[in-house]
Amino acid sequence: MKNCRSYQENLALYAYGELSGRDKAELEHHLVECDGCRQELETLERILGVVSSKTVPERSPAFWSAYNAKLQARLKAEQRAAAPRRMSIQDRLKTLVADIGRTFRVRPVPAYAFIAILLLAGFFVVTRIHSPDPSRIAMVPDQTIQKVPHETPAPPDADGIRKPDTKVPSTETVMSVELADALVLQELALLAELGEDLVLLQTDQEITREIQMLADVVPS
Amino acid sequence: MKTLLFILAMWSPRGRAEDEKTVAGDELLLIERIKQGDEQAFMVLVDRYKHKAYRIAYRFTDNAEDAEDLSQEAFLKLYRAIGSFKGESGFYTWFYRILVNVCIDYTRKHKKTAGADLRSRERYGNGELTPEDCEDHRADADPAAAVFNLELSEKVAEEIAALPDRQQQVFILRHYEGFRLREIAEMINCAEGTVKAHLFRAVCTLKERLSPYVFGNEGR
Ligand SMILES: [Zn+2]
Repeated sequence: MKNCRSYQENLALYAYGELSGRDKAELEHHLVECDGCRQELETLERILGVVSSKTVPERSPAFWSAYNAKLQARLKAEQRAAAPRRMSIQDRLKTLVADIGRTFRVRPVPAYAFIAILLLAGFFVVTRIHSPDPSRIAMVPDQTIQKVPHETPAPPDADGIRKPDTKVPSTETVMSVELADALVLQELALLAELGEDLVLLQTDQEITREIQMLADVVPS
Repeated sequence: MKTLLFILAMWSPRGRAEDEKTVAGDELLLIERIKQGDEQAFMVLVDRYKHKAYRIAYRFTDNAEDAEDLSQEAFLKLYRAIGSFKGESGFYTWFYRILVNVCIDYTRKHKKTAGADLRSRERYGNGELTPEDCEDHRADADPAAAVFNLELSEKVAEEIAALPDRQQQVFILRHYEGFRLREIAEMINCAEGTVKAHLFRAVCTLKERLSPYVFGNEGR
């Protein structure tokens, strides 16, 4: 037969309702016979009752609203801090650009340029402009926008309008050079206005949300 | 253009607003949405778990400000790590494991630097807890009893804080939050038998340390 000492651990588990099966039956049988262990169990329950009386203060609904706001602010701050991690966005933007069938020259700050490109792409479908004059097109393979958005683009052609190439499918739209330049400036100015916030957007959702907002304000 | 708009619509959180209701009841769907960067889904989950998370953190810190901070930290970690949640364990066990780890880090840092006694005294003096927060103490009709309860309550917090890490975790999770031992085993990543042993040792220590306070004034 076990001695009282060997029941100690099971006594504690019993107090928490964590004893079952044979162990439980055995202990209960012992408790009927042993005053010492019954007393020990009482002491234990008394102590644990006192421990339970230590409560966590209830918080008000106002606290919980502020809690959510604070948490969201922390989440935003964290996302800003982690801003350089944006490969997936670049990939997605690249896919979009490829969809539209245009090749873009990217500025040294990739995220910034990619956003600008996506914004542009979102508004207009532009076919390949054949043999363009590099000085006049906003984005061509060998030209980098140096100082955006303050720098004025090079002046357009005399006629201004590019004639659609005969090989271009009729469903696609052709955009004038000035329009392209103007749009780039417009978009970049908009980006500058949006400032850091937009550049630091991290998730795809944030990007698309911003783009949709911009699409809403720019007439198609 | 249509393709682009379609893609935008697919990405947009507004595009999914309609199925908000059907999704709300299902945690796994919420988790899928969070994986796609849906912050609204994240906040739904936060609302579901924040009260318990705060309470658990409070048990570890015995401090309102830190409880708020640590529970939020756990939610931020959850958001960051959601991609690695494969659904093998229950979601809440997974989340509470994150929370407990955050709390462990905290207690490890604080055990060495500040005495629990000093901290608990500062807490009531610096206005961190409002009178409403202390209602359970204030409501007591007998001032002498109120003082005794407050002292005992502080003593309880102090002794729990003084427990070795594992014992403290197991005790808090079992005694105050009512998790089953096998759930705790999953949360703290150890065998159920080990959890039992930790609980038993914690109970023994608390019994020994608190007995003079609980039974002392009864002449026991
Ligand atoms: Zn006995």
